[in-house]
Amino acid sequence: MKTPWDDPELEAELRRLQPRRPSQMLAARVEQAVAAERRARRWRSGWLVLAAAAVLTAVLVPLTPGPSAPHPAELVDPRADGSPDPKVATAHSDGVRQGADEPSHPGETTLTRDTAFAGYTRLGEANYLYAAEDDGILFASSTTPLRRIRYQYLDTTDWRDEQAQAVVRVVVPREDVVLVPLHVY
Amino acid sequence: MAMTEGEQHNLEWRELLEEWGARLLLFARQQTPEPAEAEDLVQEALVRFWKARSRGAAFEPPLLFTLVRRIAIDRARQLHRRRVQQETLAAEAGVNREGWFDPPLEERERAACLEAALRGLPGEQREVVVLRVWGGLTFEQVGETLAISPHTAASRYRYALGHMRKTLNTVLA
Repeated sequence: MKTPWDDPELEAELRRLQPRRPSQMLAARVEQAVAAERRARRWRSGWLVLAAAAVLTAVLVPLTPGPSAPHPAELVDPRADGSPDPKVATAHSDGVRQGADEPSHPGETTLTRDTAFAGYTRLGEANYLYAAEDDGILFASSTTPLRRIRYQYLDTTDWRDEQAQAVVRVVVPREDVVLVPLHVY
Repeated sequence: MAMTEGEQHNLEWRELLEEWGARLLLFARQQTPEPAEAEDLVQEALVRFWKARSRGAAFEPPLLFTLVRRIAIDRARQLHRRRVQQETLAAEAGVNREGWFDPPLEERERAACLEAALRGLPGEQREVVVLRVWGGLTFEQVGETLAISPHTAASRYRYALGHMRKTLNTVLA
């Protein structure tokens, strides 16, 4: 039964009206915002996994000390008399390699990436590619279109703290953007 | 040729915007008179919807409308300040408002009357009409979206149609 408030004709008329469509810009903006959010999420999850791995390593490794682990003194100061090495001290205080370019003298050590560093031994490095994203085709000023691909890596370096017998993993995120020319036939 | 993840993702977004973009925008226009601000609301709602969906939320149209409304409420103070400024400027400059609908040429006159009648409704009734007619929601879903009971939603809807009919009869008389 039709009540005084029912108005199917008006309803039908309203339904025929098409709402104005959003601008083309909105589609592009949404896609960009979602892509950015997706990248951020991958980034966060990658960090979370590696942080968990680093914590786990730092906890577990001291429980099982390696039998062949060299004594810290042998690594930091190779001189037999054990007197302080100014180069090692400098590197320790600054946190960077210094003095590597100076001429070396017999019996003196030079710090490199492969040698001991203030009680830490470099165990190894690895690069993990955890995301490769196709950003689509770019039309630059040249006539050749380019495909932009974004690679996301985590560069890790493992160090052993000889005194605590713990392994510390340093993780550095890196992003490479590669432009690949597309040949149009 | 297989699509990359990014291309697949973009396709999903285009489909979603194609189907829901205009309706969401119309609803967003009920929250703010400024078209660009309404598009911002839709953009943020879609991004939040994507986040919810990636956490396993099922696709339900009322969720999209609810998100638009929540974001509008969050921004209410900012929106109100801008609205006052924009309405003042528009009134001073005599600028025409951008229409809510895109009717075919032969129906423009009638569409303008309908839109004027719709604009003349109180905001709370207008929201219900938009969700019901163009959002395709049930009164229950309208109630959930606007945090009111289904009876209130139905009641507002009927009052709104009554007001609109009265306005149209006056205009056409």
